[in-house]
Amino acid sequence: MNEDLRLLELRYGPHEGGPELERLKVRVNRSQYRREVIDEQIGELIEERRKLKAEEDRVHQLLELVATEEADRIRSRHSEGWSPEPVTGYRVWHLDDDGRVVGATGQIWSYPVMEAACEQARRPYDDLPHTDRMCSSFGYGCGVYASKSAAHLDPGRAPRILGVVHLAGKVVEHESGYRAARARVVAVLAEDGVSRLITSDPDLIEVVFEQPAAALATHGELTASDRRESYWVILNELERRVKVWT
Amino acid sequence: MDIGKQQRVIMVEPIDLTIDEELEALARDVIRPGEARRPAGAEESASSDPLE
Repeated sequence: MNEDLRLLELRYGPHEGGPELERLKVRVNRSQYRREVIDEQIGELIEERRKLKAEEDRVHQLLELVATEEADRIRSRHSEGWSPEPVTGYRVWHLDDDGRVVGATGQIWSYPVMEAACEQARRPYDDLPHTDRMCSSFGYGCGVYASKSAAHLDPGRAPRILGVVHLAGKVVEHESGYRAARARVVAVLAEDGVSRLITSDPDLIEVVFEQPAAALATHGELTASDRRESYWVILNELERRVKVWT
Repeated sequence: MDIGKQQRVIMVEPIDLTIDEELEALARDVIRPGEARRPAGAEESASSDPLE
């Protein structure tokens, strides 16, 4: 009620207002009531929302659990393995006409680390190397290739680099080799027919891949022509050293 | 390189050592010296916390 009218009512006793005043009072009361009802409904909706959110969180946790179990079943069905340690493989590189280190497919290795890439890769990301025949028209598919054993390598002619690589990320195991998401060269045996360099020093390995000829000239040991072993001897030495290193 | 028939996938995921360090830090916070040897059910007193 208007404060002035309230004061006058106290002063002179109850006052009977005109119809316009009463009509407006009714409108105010009705509006206040509707507002209170709406506030109550809002409160109920907020509570309902809170309960729904809590239920949603519980269902989401259950969903995560069930999804994890399903993922485990899929991995088990495909005999997927897991390892905290890198997988060891063997590779051979040669030098191109410009003296750069190249792999069997002509991929240039200017650094002793390589990451798999594929022209067929889905964007914005994919599960490389592919195992769903996405790129099976190329060899066995994409990935950084490595042999399971140095004996499986075809070392070709010098100049060449035989290397031990540590494979990480997704590693696809094949009968006699691997295709990996990432590879890091951890030991090399480089030779150019005159000298030979065997090292597991990461810094020196970097030099071998950046400037192979210079690395051999600076750090290689001369190999007398009558003491040049066959590549089988070299491979055996490499494997022996890897066993010592790892 | 002939690597033969595809056999299986191996996921190589090196363990992040910082996780171990975080766990150790967490363990230091949760299990304070002396608390680990307190008998089960023993009441905690104000003086039992060596950090106070």
